[in-house]
Amino acid sequence: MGIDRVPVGSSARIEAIDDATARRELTRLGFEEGADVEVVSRIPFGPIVLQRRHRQVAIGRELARRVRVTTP
Amino acid sequence: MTDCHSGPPAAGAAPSAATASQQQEGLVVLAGNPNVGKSAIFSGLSGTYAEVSNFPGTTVEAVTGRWNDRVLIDAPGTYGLGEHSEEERITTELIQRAATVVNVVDAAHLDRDLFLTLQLAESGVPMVVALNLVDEARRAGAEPNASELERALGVPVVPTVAVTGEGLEQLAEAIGRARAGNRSLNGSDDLARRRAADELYARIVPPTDRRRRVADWLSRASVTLHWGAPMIVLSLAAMYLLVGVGVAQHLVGFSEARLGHEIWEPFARNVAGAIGIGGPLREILVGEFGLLTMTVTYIVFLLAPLVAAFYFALALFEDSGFLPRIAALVDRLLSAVGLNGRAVIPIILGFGCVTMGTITTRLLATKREKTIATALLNFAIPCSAQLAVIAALLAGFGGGWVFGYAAIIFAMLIAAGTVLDRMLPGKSTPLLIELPPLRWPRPAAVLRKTVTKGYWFMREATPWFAAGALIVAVLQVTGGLEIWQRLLRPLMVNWLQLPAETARAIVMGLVRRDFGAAGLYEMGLTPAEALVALVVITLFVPCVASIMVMAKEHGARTAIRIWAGTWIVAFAVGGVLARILAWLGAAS
Repeated sequence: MGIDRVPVGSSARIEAIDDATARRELTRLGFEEGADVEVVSRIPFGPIVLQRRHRQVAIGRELARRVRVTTP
Repeated sequence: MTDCHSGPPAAGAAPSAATASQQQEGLVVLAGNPNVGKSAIFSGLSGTYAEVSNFPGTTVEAVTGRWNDRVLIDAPGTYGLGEHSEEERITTELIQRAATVVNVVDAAHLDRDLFLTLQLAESGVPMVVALNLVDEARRAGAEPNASELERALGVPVVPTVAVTGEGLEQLAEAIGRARAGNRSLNGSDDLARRRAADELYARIVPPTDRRRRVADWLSRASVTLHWGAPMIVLSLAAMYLLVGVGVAQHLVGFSEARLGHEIWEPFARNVAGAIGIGGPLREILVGEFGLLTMTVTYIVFLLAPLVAAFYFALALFEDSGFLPRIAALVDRLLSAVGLNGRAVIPIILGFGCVTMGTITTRLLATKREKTIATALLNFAIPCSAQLAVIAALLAGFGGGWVFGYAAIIFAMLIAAGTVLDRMLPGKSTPLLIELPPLRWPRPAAVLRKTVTKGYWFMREATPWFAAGALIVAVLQVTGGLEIWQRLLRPLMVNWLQLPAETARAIVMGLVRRDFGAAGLYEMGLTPAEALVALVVITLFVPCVASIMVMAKEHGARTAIRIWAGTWIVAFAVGGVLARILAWLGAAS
């Protein structure tokens, strides 16, 4: 499923990022395929905020659908 | 590696035999992620001398200076090397030309930065690592083990705190000992490199469970709607009080009226009179729109304090880590007009000075987004100078008129954005933005940013303001201004149903947006007339400086299109509004 469907406060493992540009950017920022991340916030109709260690990224809702994850 | 089209002539020096032929003798390049203190290291090493230049065919800038008779370049901040953006391409090219690379990393967020560090260590270029912001890492109880990192990379690693100067001497000494990294090549395999970086990070940074409660809570709360939105409103209100009221009204009120109009301008006129300048030349130099009178007053006594205040506020937003959070929160709103959250930065700046906002559209990803943002800025965003006059004028009529004005302009902003989003081919890029941790801005860093950015802006914009003033002064001397006014009169009187004198305000608005609004101030307009006139003036053409910058950034065609478009939109909306108001007035 897309990370847009993970409830706020829970963690998920990024399995695949179906967007070449985003995959490259996220890998550089440390949110690569295989990483465990926490969903910190879901801004209504807006971006999803992910956190790993002490670092956060915000990704637009559309893009978040293409970040596929599994939850434990 | 195949081309060397933009390699500058290596000032009489033969390239060193051991490396690629395009290498530049002695060149030191600073490379690192955005916002890790690269520019503070740069000024620490090079002192004050710096030169900003554009790369050929791009809008990416790099700062060049000198350090110990070697050329020092501050490369654009990137998260990695490659071909994927202008910044990346340029940084990659600079690294290929460099004799030595100084990789500046943020010691407190090393996990992210190590990706680029590994890429550099694989590239074979002699390098040193500046472990910057090490004081912050220390405070968090997570100081990286510098000697372990040194062993792992095979290059000198120097802890620094650039803003205080700590470690800079050791860094300068270490540049002499720079060596190529000993990492094996991961090639284009980003994932392998990322995993190697994570592994290295785990080895050199002690695990810490020390929690910064307040900062952690803020980092999370600031990106939720119920906490983040009030934070934005409060911080923008504080910014308005500082920039809009404190500087734009009080300080500029004093500097422009007192220092400019009462002291400087009479002085300039007296000097011109004393050395016997007369006739048209006198008008051009020290007349109403004179190069030595209006231009100087405007640039020195009005624009400079305003620009400084805006960059100061922006530096606070930036260095506290709040700005990207605002971008995330407003992403949904901006995506309605074909932009993403990043565009909030030029738009906030635009409320200070549209020219400044237009220059900042550079940081948007695609040409499509740059065009939309530029058009919105120049159509519907009033700059602070104009806002001050508008607020003063409308407030006299009561809050309802202020609200009506704001509602109309906001509706125009949405309408123009929606139309452009539909019209322009392509799709907008989704938001993907790093949210740096919230922290207290460092006064020294904020001050340095304010001064350097303010200086660059003034240097870029001043010639255009002068050119614009010159054109108007010449028009005035030759009577062209009068003709304009006469041509516009029917449009003003019949279509907008305004008094004939308002044509003069519109002509003034061609030069500077707030001139137009200021011109209306003493005309004794009714509230309805004032609203129509102000809406027209807001939507009307951007100031000469903005047009010049637009032409430079986006080409003359886009600039002319936007300029012509504002005529049509401003008068169409104004005419319709005049009729609606007349009908409402008759109905009540």
